Amino acid sequence: MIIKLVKKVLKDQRNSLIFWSLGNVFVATYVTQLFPTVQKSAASLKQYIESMPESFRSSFLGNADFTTPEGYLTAEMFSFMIPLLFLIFAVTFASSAIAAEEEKGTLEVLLSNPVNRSKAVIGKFLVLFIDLIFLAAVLLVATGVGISLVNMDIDFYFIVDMVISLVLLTLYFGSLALSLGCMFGSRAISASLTGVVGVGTYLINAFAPSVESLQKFQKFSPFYDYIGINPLINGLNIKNAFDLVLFSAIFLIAGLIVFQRRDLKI
Amino acid sequence: MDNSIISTSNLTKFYGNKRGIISVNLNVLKGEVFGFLGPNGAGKTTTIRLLMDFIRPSGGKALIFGMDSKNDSVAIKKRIGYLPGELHLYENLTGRSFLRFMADLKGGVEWDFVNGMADKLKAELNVKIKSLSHGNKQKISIIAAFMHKPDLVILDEPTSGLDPLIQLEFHVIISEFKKMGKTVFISSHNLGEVEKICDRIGVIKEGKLIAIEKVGTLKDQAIRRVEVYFAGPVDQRDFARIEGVTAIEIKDKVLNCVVVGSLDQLVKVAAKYQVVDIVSHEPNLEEIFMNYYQGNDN
Repeated sequence: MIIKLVKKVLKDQRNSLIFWSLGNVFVATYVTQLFPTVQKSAASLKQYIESMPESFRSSFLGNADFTTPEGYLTAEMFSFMIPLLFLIFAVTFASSAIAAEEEKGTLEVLLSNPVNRSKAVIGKFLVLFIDLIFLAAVLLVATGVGISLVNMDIDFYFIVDMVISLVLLTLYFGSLALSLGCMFGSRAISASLTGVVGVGTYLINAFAPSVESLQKFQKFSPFYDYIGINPLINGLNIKNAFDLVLFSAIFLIAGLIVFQRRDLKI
Repeated sequence: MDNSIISTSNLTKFYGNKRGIISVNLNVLKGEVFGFLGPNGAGKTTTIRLLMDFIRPSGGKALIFGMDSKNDSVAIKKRIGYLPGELHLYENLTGRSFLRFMADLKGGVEWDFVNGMADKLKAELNVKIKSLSHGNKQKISIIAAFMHKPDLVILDEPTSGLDPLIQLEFHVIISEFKKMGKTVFISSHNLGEVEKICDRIGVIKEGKLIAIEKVGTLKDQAIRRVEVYFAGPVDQRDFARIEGVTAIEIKDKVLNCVVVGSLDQLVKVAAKYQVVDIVSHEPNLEEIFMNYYQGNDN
């Protein structure tokens, strides 16, 4: 039953998935192919970056050394651009996965069949997971090809670790959006609340190094779990990765419990 | 043996302080077509949503096939076909792929049967649902409701906006289902329709079930105006004695009267004379319905 639902939803979003894949390929190719040029002007860039305020550097450039392959990929891809793409995709899909069906009324058609409410939610979550694995694979291949073309000196396994961390970060927000959609039956509420949490936790993580009062909150930010201990340099941090998984599970379960119990607006 | 397919006891639903339905006790028996009548806002759709487990009761409970509507919802829905009042289909699918998806979720669907229904209804299956007319969307929904030959079909205002030809075909489908021993629960505010296809009728008013009657019984209680045309003059006193016949008026060999219930006695008395014609105005359920409403007002 659940597999039929997963198959249908995957089929529905074929086109959108292709579009998002192309976006990832574009960013990965563009960023990697630009590396030789950047490296040539390394000295002046370094000077320029160091002249910027600390908080700006940490929030938008990942506070990394721009001239090493790790630092460059962190700054140009993984601290902002790629997570943004992944998060927009996941939150758009997850916030409407149940809520849009409820708003449009198609949930009535779906649940008039012998389909358990929770299974419908789990089916949608599986689709999100499969999508992310697909996008992650596309990103890995594009980045792998990109770094080998310009002979970037970086261990591919660290990139794999980085992308795993990225998938977990995206699952965190995807689960949150799915769960809020299940609780409120509203795309707008789910997407905007998730957006607020996303921007808030991003800024906390970004500004914590330079704003003392934020420091104690930094470790609660999913962005800290994602890249606070940079997987491109240190490999995947198991504890932080586990935190992301744990919270994703908590969000999902909370959404399931409320959705199973409440009256549907159909 | 308990013959109930749907059985509710004190089924109650409040939306916050707003009344949905109050203490509805309903018993729908195997093999019958049960009409659930009431004006908009009376609680018909609330009742159906409770049966379908889209919403949860504030009190009381509903059993379908002897199973709890809330806890055994999935098992129940395997045996239910449902036609919603407002259609919200997956618009980006074609009729066929929509029905395939529904069939996958339901399980045990014979595709020949689906094709047969599609032919009968002249349903357009190869076009995306979003480009279908309302009537054509309804055909797809009707097929989806009946495709797995469910033991119980729940229809929420099924013929609102249904074009007359499909309506006819739809009535045929319902009567075929009834012949197969299946049960149909149909909500409507259209008395003419319910009168045609239902065995029993429940009337709901302001959230309360106020009457359950056989359609035949309702008709028996009907008040109708009758005109009898005679060949020669008749004696009014003959007719005044008949129970249930009132407002007698004889003019130019024509008897005008009002009859409650059966016409039997009136016909027998009239047969003493030479009768040219009898005109009986069809009992109107609307009037009976109104009588129930007014009768329960106090």
